Order: sequence, then C-alpha cells, then structure tokens
Amino acid sequence: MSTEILDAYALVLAALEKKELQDGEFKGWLRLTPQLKDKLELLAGEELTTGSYDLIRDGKPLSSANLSQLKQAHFQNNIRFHVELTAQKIKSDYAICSEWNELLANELRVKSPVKYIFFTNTMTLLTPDCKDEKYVNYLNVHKAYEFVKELAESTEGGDSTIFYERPLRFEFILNESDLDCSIDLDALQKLLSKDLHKEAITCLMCRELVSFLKDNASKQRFSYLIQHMDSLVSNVLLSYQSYVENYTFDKVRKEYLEKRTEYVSKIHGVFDNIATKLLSLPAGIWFATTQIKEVEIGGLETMAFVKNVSVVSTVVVLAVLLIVNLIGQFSTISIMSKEYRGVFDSLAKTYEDEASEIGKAEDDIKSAQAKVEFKLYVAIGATLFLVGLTIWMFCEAYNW
Amino acid sequence: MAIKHVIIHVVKRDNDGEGLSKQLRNNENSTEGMTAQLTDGLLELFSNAHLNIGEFGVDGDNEVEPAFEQKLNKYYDDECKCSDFVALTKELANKYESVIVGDQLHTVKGGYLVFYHYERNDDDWLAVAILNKTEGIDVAADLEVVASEILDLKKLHLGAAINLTQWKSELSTRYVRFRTGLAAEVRDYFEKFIGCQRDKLAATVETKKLKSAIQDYAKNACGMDDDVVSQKVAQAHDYIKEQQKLGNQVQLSHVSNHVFPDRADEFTRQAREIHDLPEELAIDGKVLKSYKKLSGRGKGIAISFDRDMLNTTVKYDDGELTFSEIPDSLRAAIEEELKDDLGKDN
Repeated sequence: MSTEILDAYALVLAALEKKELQDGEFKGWLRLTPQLKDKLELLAGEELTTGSYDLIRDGKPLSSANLSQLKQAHFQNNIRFHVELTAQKIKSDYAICSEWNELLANELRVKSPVKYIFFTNTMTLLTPDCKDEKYVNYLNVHKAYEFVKELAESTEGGDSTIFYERPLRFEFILNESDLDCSIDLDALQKLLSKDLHKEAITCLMCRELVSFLKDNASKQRFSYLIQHMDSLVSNVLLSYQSYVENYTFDKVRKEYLEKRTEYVSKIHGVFDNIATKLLSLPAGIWFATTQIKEVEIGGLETMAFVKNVSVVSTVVVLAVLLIVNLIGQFSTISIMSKEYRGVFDSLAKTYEDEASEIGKAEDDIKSAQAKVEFKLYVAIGATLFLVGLTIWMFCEAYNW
Repeated sequence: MAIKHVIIHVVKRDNDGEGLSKQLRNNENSTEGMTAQLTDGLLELFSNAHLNIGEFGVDGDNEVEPAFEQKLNKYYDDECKCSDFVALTKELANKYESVIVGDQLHTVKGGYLVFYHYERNDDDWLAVAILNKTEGIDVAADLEVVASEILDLKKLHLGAAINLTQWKSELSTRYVRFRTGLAAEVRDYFEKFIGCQRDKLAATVETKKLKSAIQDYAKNACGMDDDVVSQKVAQAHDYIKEQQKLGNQVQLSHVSNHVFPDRADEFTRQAREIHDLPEELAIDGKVLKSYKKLSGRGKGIAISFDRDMLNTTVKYDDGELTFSEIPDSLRAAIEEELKDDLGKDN
C-alpha cells in the first residue's frame, strides 16, 4: 500500500505544471485524466491532498470541484485543476520529504526507521528492495539507537540519557553525511548478550561512551557516534579484554590465597587432631606415679610388684601407641605437601606474573608445615622422656 | 458589474389568507432609465447578504432538473444569451405563484419579484430577489409630511443568484447562491421554487476556500508577512475548533470578527465575492488539519505550532512537550520579564 501511495504521489507531482512550493505544499496545475483522478483519490484518502480543487478553463477561473463529483467534462484538454500536495508527510509506514536531512531531523524516524521513502527534491523512491547505500545504512541506524537506549535504561536514564559519573544526553538526529558510514554493532551486541560479566560489560560500555562523547554537544552526539562507531567498538572491545584479564588475575590471586589458608589450616589440623590423644600421656604418668608403690619387704612374688609391672607396661604400651600415631601424622603431612606443591607449581607456571606471590603463599604453607613437624618431634621426645621417667620410678621402687 | 436586463413582477397578498394578486410586466424595465441607487442596490443585494451556495437538484439528486432550471435551459443558449427575458421571467413568476398556491401557503405574502441579469467578473448571472416595500416619510410639494412606501433594497430576505457561466459549463456544483430565510415554511417553499440544494461536498471546498481567503486577504489586502499570515490561519483554526467543540455552527462573519477584528466587514465581503463563501460554513476536519497547526488552549497556556515541527523542534514525551527552539519574540519577552523580576528582587 505504501508503495502505491508513493507511486501515486510521484506521478501526480511529476504531472503538475507550473509547480511551486508554498506554505508547505506543492501547488500547480494539473490536466486531469482518469488515471490521475484515481491517484488523487488515493492521495486524498491519505490526506496528502484535499480532494477539492479550483479549476480553470482556457486559463480563466471557472469554479471548484470535488473528486467525487467529476464529470466527463472535467477531463477536457482545456481544463486545469489547481492541485495542492502536502510537501512533507512523515509517518510510520512511509515518508514524503524533500531530502535525507529533513527525514533525519525527525527523531522518531531515526529511532524507528520508515521503509518507504520518497524524496521530492530528487524524485527518488526508496523501498526495501533498494540497494542504495545510504538507505541501507539508514535502516541500520536504529540499531545504534537501541544500543544507546539499552545502556540508558540500565542507568535509569530513560531512553536518551546515560548516567555514568555525569548525565550524557542524546538527541537522535542525524545528517545525510552520517549515512555514508556503515553501522556494524554485532560485536557490541554479542558482548551485551553475554550472561557472564553482564553488569560489568554494561558499566564499561557506559564508561567508554561517556568518555567518547562527553565533549560533543547533545545534538551532535549521535551523529558523532555513527561516524566513529568503529573506534567506539574497538575501544569497548579493548576495554573488555583488559577487564577480563584483570578479572582473571583477581580470580587467581583469590584462589591461591584461599589455597594457602586452606593448606595452612589443614596442616595445623594434623597436630590439633592428635592433641587430645597427647593429653593421655600426662594422664598416664600421673596414673603411674600414684600407682607405683615403694616395696620395702618382699620380692618379686608380691602382689604389689605385679601391680607396678602392669602400670609400667600400660604406660609403655600407651607411649608406643602414641608415638606410632605421631609418626603417622608425618605421612599425612607428606601427602598434603605433595598436594599443595603440585597446585602451587601449576599456578606459578600458568600465571608467571604472579609466580613470586604464589611462591610466598607456598612458603607460608611450608612454614606452617615445619612448625607442625617440630611440634610432632617435640611430642615424640616428650613421650619417650615420660616413659623413661616411669621406668626409672619403677626401678626406684625396688631400689634396683 | 453591469445590469443587462431587469424586470419587476409582483405576486403578493397584503394579509394572511387573502388571495394572491399578480401583476406581470410585458416588457423589461429600462436599465438606462434606472437610477444609480437602484442599480447599485440590486448589485449589492447579494454581496451583503448571508448566502448559501449550491446547485440545482431535486431531493438531493443533481441529475434531476427542477422547473426553474428547465426554464433556464429553454431560454439561455450556451453563450448565456437569453432568447426572451420577459417570457422567461413571466414563466418563473407563474411558477412562483403556483408553488405558493399549490402548497396552500396562506401565510406567505410574496412580494415584488425582481429579475435581473448582470455580469460580474466576466461571468453572467441571473438573480431573482423577492423584495417588499418599506414605510418611509416624504415631504409633499406643499411641504406637508406624508407617509410613503419605498422598495426595500437594503435587505435581501429571499433571493437567489445563478452563475449562468458556471452552470452552463457543467463543471461546477456551486453556481447558485441563495438566501431562504430562517423560517422553515419560507425556506422550503423558496428552495422548492428555485430547485436548489446545498453543495453536498461543501465542507471540503469551503474549509479550503476559507483558508485561501484568509491567506489572500492577510497577504494582499493587509500586506502581512508570511509568519503573520500563518498566525491568522492558526487563529481561524483555533476559533473553528472552539466552535466545533461547543457544537456551534461556524459563521463566516464570526470568523472575520475573530481573525480580522478591525476589518471584518471588508474581509467578509471579499470572502463572499471572490471565494464564494457562504455565511454558514461547512467545515471538513481533514482539510482543517491542512491549516498546518497543532494547537491547544487552556490552563493559562495557548500553544500553536506547525505540524511538521513535531518530532523535530517540538518533542512530545509522556505528557511533556519540549521545545528545542523558541521564537525570538518569545525569548525576548521572557528575558524581559525575568529581568524585571530580578530588578524588583534587588
């Protein structure tokens, strides 16, 4: 339908004699034919012309007539109708205007492009099957608007203001020369559609846009954006890459610090796990000191001797079990050591820049390991000393 | 403008219910002997009257020829030359009588039927006016004051003027101007006598012509520049919208008073004569839009701007209207106002 309207408009406009533009209307004289009458009726339905015209015969003013009242006499060769055509009409489904600049000054039609266009200056009709470069670029302009709108809405700035440290307001108007630039926002759209880092991506895009356009007046911003879209895309991608790298290092740093804490805790846990068992040693010694009795009369056949031997035996068995347990902890520490060394070596190799920090974290674990090993050795030594002390007490009880 | 033929017949009754008296002349009144006052009076009759505009037709059908048109066809040739003006007017006067008698209109008084054929703007016109005498005072030869009756040429109560040139061309639907009065009975019988009907698509034509009339007058008669002309059209637009909202009929004279308060009569006259506008204007909403203005008034604000400025200089968003440019005069007035306020504060 839009094509028919624009075709009709083009046909009538071309047929107007002594055409002039006045008060926003093309006015001229038309020799009516049945075909032109049909076209005028179509245009009148679209309010592009009134459908009622003054007419002259042989150059002399005669009367006026409505399209619906025409008779055969109105189609005579010497009759001319004074036809007015609206010079500009920009609707959602078609646009009639003088040139690109007039269309691009209409913000609504930049935000939402119209597919059927007729330019009266050049009598050019543009339709979706047209390959005109400017037309193709015009149809893509709304993508840039959608991009800005998405960012603006994410900062709660309506559809035209991006808030990032300062308000950056857009007026979505363009010039014809802007349409020489092709618009390719695929990279940015893909980036925006990522689920990962979504908020961060929006934020860095706002930052890049503000930084890119802050020095332009609001009326020129969108135009500048269209003209320098490639630079912006490149800036955003670089910025994102940088962000991703920073993000990875943060993540690694966080990871090896977590590992350090985890292994330090585990290694200390090795000693803490047997701490309660170690309490049995002083308990045993206390038991021994209370149970071993000095025997002044009698020999090895007495009941007291049997009791003393059993106490010593109990302490020795206890000490042996404890020492075995303590020695077993060395194996646990050894396994942990292998585990964390492997993890930290791998991290150090992958992130060479962080190798020294990773090494420091590993050293912290090694230090904790050394402390725990020292405590285990001290515990073994103390156990052996207390066993020796018990045996010495037993001997003293019999004056051996 | 010149009167080519004129003849006066009389078909009237003095009191309601009485029979009609008829007196028909057998020859034309002499145009040479007519006083300038009478000539001017007749020519002015239709210029000053509130007229409707239309064409011949019966019951809304313009293909059917009413009796009046048949008589015109009988006596007028393609060059608008009348073969027998006296016979034509006699037949029309008889027809007038038969309409009153046939419809038993006992209260219709009739009057002097003045038929005259004249030329204006190269077009031939035939006019018929039903005139009555009005009472006046005269001074006799002996200087006695006496009552006298004179033909009232000041006011047209009933009449029709047919643009014969346009009618013959068969290219127009607006060649009859007629005044039928407000009383339904009178209106009906006179419209039946003439066989005229209002232009069915008058609204489109008249709305468009009103705009042209305002533009022409503002530009050519008042010498206004384009911006002021545009303002005048916008004023008309606002006024018409207001009247439509109130459900009132749009009157040409009222539009004139509103748009050109100082020269209303002159504009009204020009709109009638040159642009064929009737007093009661039919308005077409679509054409009214072509007045090019979006406007609104209320809450102390009156705003009006060209339609093509919407979405460019003027932006509408969710009830808020933003102007990115304002007229210099408005800017100056605002700055002046603010300057005064600041001066008072200091």
